[in-house]
Amino acid sequence: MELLAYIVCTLCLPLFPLSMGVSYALGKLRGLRTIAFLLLPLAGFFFLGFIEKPPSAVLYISLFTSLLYAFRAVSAESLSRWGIYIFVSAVSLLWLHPSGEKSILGLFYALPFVLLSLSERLIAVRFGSSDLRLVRGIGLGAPKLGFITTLSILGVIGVPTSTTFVEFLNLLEARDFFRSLILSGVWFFWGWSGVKVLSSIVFGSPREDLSYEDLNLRGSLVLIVLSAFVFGAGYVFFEVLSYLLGWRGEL
Amino acid sequence: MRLEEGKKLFIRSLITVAGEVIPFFWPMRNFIHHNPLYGLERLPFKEAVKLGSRLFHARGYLSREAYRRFLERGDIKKELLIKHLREFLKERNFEREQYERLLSTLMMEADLKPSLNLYLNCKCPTAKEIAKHLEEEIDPAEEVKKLSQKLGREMTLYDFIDQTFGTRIGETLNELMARNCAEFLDEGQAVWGMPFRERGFYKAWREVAKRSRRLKLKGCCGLENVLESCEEPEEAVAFALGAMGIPEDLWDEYVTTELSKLHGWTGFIRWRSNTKDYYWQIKHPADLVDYLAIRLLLALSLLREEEKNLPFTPELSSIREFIEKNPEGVLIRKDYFSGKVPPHLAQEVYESIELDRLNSISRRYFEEKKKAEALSTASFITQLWKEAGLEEEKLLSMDKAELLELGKLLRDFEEEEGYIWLKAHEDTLIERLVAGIEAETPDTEDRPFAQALFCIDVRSERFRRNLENLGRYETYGIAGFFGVPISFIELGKGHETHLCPVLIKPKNVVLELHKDLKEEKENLYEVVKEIIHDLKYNVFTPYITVEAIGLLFGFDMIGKTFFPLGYGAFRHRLANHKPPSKLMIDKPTKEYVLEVIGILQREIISRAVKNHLGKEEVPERILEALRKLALEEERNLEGVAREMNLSTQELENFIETLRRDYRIERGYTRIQIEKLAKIGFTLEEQVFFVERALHSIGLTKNFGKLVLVIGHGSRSENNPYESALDCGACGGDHGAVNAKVFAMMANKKEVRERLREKGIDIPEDTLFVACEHNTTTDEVEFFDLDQIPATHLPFIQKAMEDLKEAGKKTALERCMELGNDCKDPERAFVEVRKNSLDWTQVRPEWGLSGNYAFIIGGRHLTRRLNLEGKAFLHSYDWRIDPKGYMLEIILSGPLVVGEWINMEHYFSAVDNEHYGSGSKVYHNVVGRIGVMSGNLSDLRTGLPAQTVLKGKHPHHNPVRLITVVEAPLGRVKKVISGIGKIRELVQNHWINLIVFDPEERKFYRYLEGRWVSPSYEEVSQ
Repeated sequence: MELLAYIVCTLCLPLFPLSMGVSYALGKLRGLRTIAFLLLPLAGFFFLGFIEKPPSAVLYISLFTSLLYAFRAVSAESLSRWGIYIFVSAVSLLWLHPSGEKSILGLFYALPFVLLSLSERLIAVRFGSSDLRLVRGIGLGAPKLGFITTLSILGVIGVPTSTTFVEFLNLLEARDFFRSLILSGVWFFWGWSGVKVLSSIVFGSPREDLSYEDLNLRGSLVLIVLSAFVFGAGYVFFEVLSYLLGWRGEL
Repeated sequence: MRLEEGKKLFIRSLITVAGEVIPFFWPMRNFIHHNPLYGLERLPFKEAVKLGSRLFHARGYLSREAYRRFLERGDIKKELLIKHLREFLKERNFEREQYERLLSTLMMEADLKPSLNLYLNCKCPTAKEIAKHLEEEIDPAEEVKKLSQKLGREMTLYDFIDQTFGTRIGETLNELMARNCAEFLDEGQAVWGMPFRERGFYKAWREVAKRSRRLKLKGCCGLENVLESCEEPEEAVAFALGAMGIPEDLWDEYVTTELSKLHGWTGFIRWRSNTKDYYWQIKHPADLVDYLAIRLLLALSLLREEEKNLPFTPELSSIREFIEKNPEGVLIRKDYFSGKVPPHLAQEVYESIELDRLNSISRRYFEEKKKAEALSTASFITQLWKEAGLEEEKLLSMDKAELLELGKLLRDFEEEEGYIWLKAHEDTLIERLVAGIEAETPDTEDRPFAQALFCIDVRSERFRRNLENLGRYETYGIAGFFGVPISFIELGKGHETHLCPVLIKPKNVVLELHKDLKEEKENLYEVVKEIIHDLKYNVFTPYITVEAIGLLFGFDMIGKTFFPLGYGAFRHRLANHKPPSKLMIDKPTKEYVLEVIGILQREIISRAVKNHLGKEEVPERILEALRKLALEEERNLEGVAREMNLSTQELENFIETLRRDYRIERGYTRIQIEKLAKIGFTLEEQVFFVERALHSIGLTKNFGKLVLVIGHGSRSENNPYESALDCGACGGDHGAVNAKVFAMMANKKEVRERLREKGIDIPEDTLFVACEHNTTTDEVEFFDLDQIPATHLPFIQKAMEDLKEAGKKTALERCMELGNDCKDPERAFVEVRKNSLDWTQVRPEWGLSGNYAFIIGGRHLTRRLNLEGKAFLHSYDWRIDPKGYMLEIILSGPLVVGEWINMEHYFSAVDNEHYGSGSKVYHNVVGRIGVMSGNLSDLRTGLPAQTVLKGKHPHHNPVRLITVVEAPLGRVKKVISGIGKIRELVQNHWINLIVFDPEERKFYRYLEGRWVSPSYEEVSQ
C-alpha cells in the first residue's frame, strides 16, 4: 500500500523532475484543468496518509520543487501558465505535512486554484487567451470579471485570510530555520509574480481592439460565494472544523 | 575621439533644430500655460495633432463616449454634427443616405467597435459570409519595408528590438535618464546633491558614471572606454550615432525621436538652456547636447549588453538586413510583443518564438490573422448595419469592391471622427455665443461711480458681472500686468522676478523698500518654523527627534486637516507679517545713483579698513579719498598715506585689495551704475505705459471717482500647481505689484498733465486704487490705503462693500460648480475660504478650466450674457484706434497667451495621461522644478486630472479658442496680415476667428481659408 501511495503522491503532488511532465500535461488540459486542480491535491493528500514518514531527501526535493516553480512563475507569460506553476509549487509542499492528515485539507488547498482556473477559463473564452501581453485592463473593461480574477490571484498567493495563507502559516515551523527560509522565499516569489500578473491583466487601460464582455449577475454570484469560501473559510471554517474533528496540535 | 570645431557646431545646431518640436517646460514655481504642440503650430491643426500623436503617443481628440455626453447635454447640436458628417462623406463621394445613417448611428447611438474576440465575432452568419470578401492579403515583405523605412527615423534601434524581442531597453533607458536628470537638475530640494555639477551635465555625469555600480547592475556595459575617449558631449553624440550606424542624413529625425521620449525633462532642459540669466543654469549648466550625449551612450551600452541575445549586431544596416531576410518572423514577433496578435493565436505564437520555429507557423499565422481581421470588420459592419435599421439583404448584395470601399470608409472615419465631433462642438458654442452678443454700442454720458480694471482671465468675468449688477460700475478687461512689464525685487529678497508675460523681457526694475526703516526682529514663531524646516531635511532627524517634536507635527496635521479655517486663522496670527513697504518706481537721477553707490562703497571701505588695517572711526573724507584712489579718480597717494600713518607701499597694497577683493574699481562701478539705472521708470515711460494701457481698453474719458486696478492671485495649501492658478500675464505670479505700480503712475500729477496733452483727461478727483482679487476665495484686498485722501474715504468704503458683495455672489456660483455645500452667498464665501486653506484639497478652484472664448471689444457685447466664468474678456474700442495699433498689441500679446492657455487645457483634457500630468494623487515634487508620477518618471507636463476632469469625464470643454473681435473687417484683416504668429494661428486653424463688423453690423468667420458669414455663404476672401 505504501508503494502505491508513493506512486500516486509523486504524480499528484509532483516532485522535480516529474513535475515537468505534470506541468506539461496541465498545460494541455485546458477544459479539464479545473477538475485536475481539485482532484490532484485531494488524491495526493489522501494517499499521503498511508505513508508513515517520507524520507528527508523527499522533503528537500519538495522544497526545491516548490522554490523552483515559484521562481519560474515570476516570468510566466500567461495567467494559465502562471496558475500551473504556482499550483505545482503549492502542492509539492503538501509532502511537508506529517502523516495521518485528513484529506479534507487537500480541499482547502485546492479551492483557490479552482477559483483561479475558473477565472482563467472565463478570460480565455472571451478573449481567446489569457496571455499577459495581449489581454489587459480587465478591471476597467469588465469590472466583475476583474474583481473575481483579483480575488482568485490573491487567494492563490496566500493573502490573509485565504486557505493558502492558513496552510502556509502551518507549514512554517520556527524551529527549522532552513525550511522556514525556503518557504519564505517561496511565498516571496508567489507574491511578486502575483502582483506582476495582477498589474498586467487586471490593471492598465483596456485594449481598444478587444471587446470586454463582463460576467452576468448569476455567474458573478457563484464565483463570489466560492471566493467567500476561499477567504472566509480559510481561517474561520478551518479553525472550527479542526476543533470539531480534534485536529489541533497535530500540525 | 576628437572632433573639429566645425563638426561640433554642426552637431550642436542640428540638435537645437531637432529639439524645436519639444515645448518648453517652465519650472512650476512660476507655472506657464503653454501649447504642448507649440513647436508644431506652423502646421495645420489636424496635421499637428496627428504628428503629436506619433511623437508623444497621445490622443488628439476625446473618445466617442465623452463627445456623446456633450451631445446629450446640448453642448453639441445634432444638426451641426450631421452637417459635418455629410461634408466628410461628400469629400469621399459617399453621399448615399445609407452611409450617413450608418455613421451617424455609430457616432450617436451604437456601442460598437471592431474587436478581435473570435468567439463574439463567430456568432453571426452574415458576418462570416461577408468576411470572405473583406479578406485582404497580408504581404509581409511590403509591411516590413515600411518598418525598415521607419527605423532610424521615427523608430529607434531599441524601439525595434523591444517590439520584436520583448526586451525592455527603452524602459530601462528612460528610468536611467529620468534619474540622471532629477539628480543633476535639482534646485535645492536634495540634501545631498550630485557632485561636479558646476562642470556641466555631461561632464558631471561622466565623472559619476565612471564609478557607478548602479549602471552595471542595470545592464550598461562597456561604458568606461567610451567615457575615457569622449570628453565633450558632441564627441559622445557623434560616437554613439556612428556606432549605431545611423547615417548623418537621418540624424535630425533620429534625434527628434530620442528627445521626444522624455519630453518633460527635455522641455525643461531646453527652457533652461535658453534662459541665460537663470541662476541654476549659470551654476549648473545643461543643454540638449549634454542630455542627448548621455542618452545615446546609455542606449548604446544597453544595446551592446543585449547583443548576445540577438541574432544581429544592434546597428542600423545589420537590423535592416535581418528584417529583409526574415520578414514573416519579424512581423509575427512585432505583433506578439506589441500586443497585437489575435489572442486565440497567442499560445501558438509564444511557443514558436520560444522554440525559434516561426517559419513553420508563419503561413498559417498570416492566414488566420487575415481571417480574424476580416471577420472582426465584417462582424462590426453587420452589427452596425443592423443597429442603423438598414436591410441586411442590401449588405449581403454588395460585391467585394463595394465592401472593401466600405471597409476603407470606416477606417478613414476612425481617423477623422474626432475632428468631426470637434467642429460640431465648436460650431454649437459659436452659434450660442454669437446669438447672445449685443451688437448695439451704448451711448452714455453719465459719470460712473467707479471703473474697475480686471485681468482678462476667465475668472474675472463672474466677478465683473456681479459687480456691475450692484451699481454704476464700468468694468474693463486688460492683461493682468496692466501693460507694465516689471522686474521686481521684493523686500528681503536678493533676486529679480519678472512680472510680465514670458514672451517679454522687462527693462525696468522695481524695488520694494521698508516704509519706515525700522529694524526687523524675527518673532519666535518664525524662528521655530525655520528650525523645524531645517530639521526636516536632516538625515539624522528621524532617529533623534521623532519622540521630541513628532507631536508638534501631529498637532499641525490635525489642525489643518479637521479645522482648516480656524487653524489657518491661528497660524496667520502667529506668522510674521510683511512690514509696511513702498515701491520705488521713479527712475533715480544719475546724481542720485552715484550718491547711492558712493555711500555703499564708503561703507565697504570702512569695514575693509577695520579688517585689514585695524583702524576704527576713520573720517568720512579719508574714506572718500580712498574710494577715489581705488577708482583712479585721484592720484595723491602720499597725502592720504601720511594722514593714515601708512607708508605709500602699504597704502598701495590696500588699494589693490579694495579693487581685487571688494570690487571697488572702475569697471565694476560702471556695471553697478548700469544696473541701478534700470531701477524705476522715467516720466516719459510712465506716461507711455499708462496711455497705452488706457487707450488699448478704450478708457480715455468719463472717468469715475475711483479707478480700481485689480490684479489677481490665488491661495492654496500643499499645491505644487498653485502658480497655475495665479496670473499668467505676470509670469505665473500675483498681479498685486503690477496693479500698485500702474496705480501709482496713473495718480501722479506730472503723468496726468502729459496725458492731458495726448487727449486723455483724467479729472483731479479721480483716484486710481490698487487691489488684488483672490480667485480662490473671491476676496479683494486693497493696497496703500494710507495714501487715500480723506475726501475719497467714503467712496473707498462703498467700493469695499460692493466688492465684498460681488465676491460672495461669485463664490456662490463657483461653489456650486465645485459641488460644495453652499446654500447662499454667505455660506459659499466660507466654503471657498475653507477650500483655500485645506491641504487635502486637490481642487481648491476650477481655475481656467472651461475656457473657450476670447472676446475683444466693448463690454456692451457681453454685458447681458452669463459666460459662466469661461471667457477671456479684453476691452477694446475700435473707434479710437483707426490705425489698428492697439488691436495689433492685443492680438500679438494677450491673444497668444489666451491661445496657449486654451490649448494646454484642450490637450490635458483630451488625453490627460500623455499631454496632461495625470492624477495629483501620484505626484511627487522633484528638485523644486516639477512633479513626477511615482518615484521616477518623466517630468509631468500639462495640467493634472483634477483641473480638467471631473471623475473620468471632462469638465473642461475642449475646443479651440473662439475669438471674437469687434472691429471693421478690413482693419482686422490688415492687422492679422502684419503679425506672423497670429496669421499662422488663424490660417492653420489653431483658433476660431470671428469678427463682428460694427459698421456693417455683421458677423464674419474665418473658415477654411476664407471669410464667411454665419449662414456659411462666402462673403469675401
